[in-house]
Amino acid sequence: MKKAFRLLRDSVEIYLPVLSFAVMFMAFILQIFYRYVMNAPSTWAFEITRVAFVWSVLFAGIYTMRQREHLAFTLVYDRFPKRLQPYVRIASNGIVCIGFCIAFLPALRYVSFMGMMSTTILNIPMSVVYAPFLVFLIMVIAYTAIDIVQDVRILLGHAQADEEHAA
Amino acid sequence: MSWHFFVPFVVFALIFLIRIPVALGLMLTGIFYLAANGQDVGIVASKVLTTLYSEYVLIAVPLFIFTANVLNRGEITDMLFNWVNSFLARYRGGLAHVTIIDSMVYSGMTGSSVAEAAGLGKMEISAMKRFGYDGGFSCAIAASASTMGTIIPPSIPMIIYALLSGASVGALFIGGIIPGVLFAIALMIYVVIVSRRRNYPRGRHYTPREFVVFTIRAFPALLTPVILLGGIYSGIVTPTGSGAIAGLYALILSLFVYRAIGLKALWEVLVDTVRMTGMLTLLVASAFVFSYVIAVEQIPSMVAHLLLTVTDNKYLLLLLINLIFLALGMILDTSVITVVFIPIVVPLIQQLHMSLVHFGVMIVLNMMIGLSTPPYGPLLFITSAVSDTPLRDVIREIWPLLGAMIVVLAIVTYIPETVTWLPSVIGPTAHH
Repeated sequence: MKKAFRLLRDSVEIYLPVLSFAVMFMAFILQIFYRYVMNAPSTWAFEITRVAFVWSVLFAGIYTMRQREHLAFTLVYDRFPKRLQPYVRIASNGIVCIGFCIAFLPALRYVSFMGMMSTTILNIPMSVVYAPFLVFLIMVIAYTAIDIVQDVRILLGHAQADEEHAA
Repeated sequence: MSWHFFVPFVVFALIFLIRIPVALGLMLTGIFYLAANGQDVGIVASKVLTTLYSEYVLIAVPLFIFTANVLNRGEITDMLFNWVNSFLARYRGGLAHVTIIDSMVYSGMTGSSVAEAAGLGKMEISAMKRFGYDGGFSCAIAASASTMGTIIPPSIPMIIYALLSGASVGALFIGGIIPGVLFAIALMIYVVIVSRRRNYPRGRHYTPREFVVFTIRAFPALLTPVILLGGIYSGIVTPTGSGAIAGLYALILSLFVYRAIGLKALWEVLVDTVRMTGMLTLLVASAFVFSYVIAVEQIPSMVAHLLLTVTDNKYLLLLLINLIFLALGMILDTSVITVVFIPIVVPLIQQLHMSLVHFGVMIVLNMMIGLSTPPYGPLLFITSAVSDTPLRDVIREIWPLLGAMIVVLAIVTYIPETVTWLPSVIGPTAHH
């Protein structure tokens, strides 16, 4: 069960963005090849490039979240006393979590509304192109919630502070 | 003015006070602002997603990250270093000059100063230290030379600037060449002075035959900037296209010509590319949410008005903007400054009828100097970390170099032709 979960998680966070990037890269090269070598611009390769780009960025955003590597300004945070830092983390994760919960339903409405349109050549519904954004929102909510639980456990003395980013 | 006006500012302040990741925080400014106003929060999704789908030039960002990652992995950095070494090492302070010219050539292949410092910089610093240069000096030279990575094309920050301002990427790229060369000259003058005073060593004198051997070995790698710039200069490929071609060429070089990376390394390169893409591209997309909010609340025109009440003299305004951005660079990351503050000042630049290309190159140069200014100077941290040199030594040695960089910034600011002349003669705009 744990193994299956891990595989699923790696698929979403590592394999999917890497695959999307690779597809985007190859489609781009194909596009240049058709345009300059065959002298016949390929509109479908152009479209694949753009769709794969959207997918790779959004899934990559989740991976960056997992690594806790989204750029943050730490100069002030680092100056908080160690004792207070868990509270600050709960506040910051809490705000992100609440904000993204608020954004989820409107985003879902927007993405499904965009399903009425599709890409011009390959007829891919725009809801499919944009769907990873919903996954991104869910994963951000999940990661921040996990961090909050972890920090609460630290405050209650159930966990060590160094487990903070054990996820 | 209603209380809604303050919502984005409160969220914005929280980003810095309680360490909210900037990309997520910028989306939150939009989410809370729209929710407070009773507007559709779906606008946030629409801004992020349409930016990613329709801003085609943004695709160049992961492509150039990928190229830099491939080049950093392979022996290409060694090839270039040996080649430059074979004709520059013989002078006093030769290795420091090699570092500068080497970085300049490498800058023509990659678009990120940070990647350049981590890859090429590491090797340059260890070579300099081995030959008796002070650790702090070696790091400071490598850090400031890496700055050229984003001034000499290609350049990821210029792509992001172009996206936010509407300036032509091609013109910005070509416009960065002369400032980049001026930059190298300024650093080399400094090296000449210091090397005499500290009696830094001369390197080996290579024979013409050795020079030819190193040139032949480095030749395939040296073609990268030629292909890139040639493509953009002739207008044959778009800057985005040049990113793809550079990536493919670097991949072929590393896999087949130099056989420097295998499949395992390639996988690591891809994962690393994806990680950095997630960080940077999402930040840019989230910036469109933030600039939507500040545009609705007319913040840019307020800031323009405020600055114009201080002075309406173009030269003083440029000085003021440069000082503000340098100060921001001391504490903030370049990408954050770009996505947050560029949209605020660009309308003012347009109002003053200044060239967006000139301003773009100037402001990128300014922000790149910020990469080496303490307390928050990523290039100082990186060069110090990759070479086990105490950070305070690096900081002590960076001050005079910062002075040299600021002199170049002043030249570029007040002689716009240093930027605009080259694109007007050969750039893609010259074809229009």
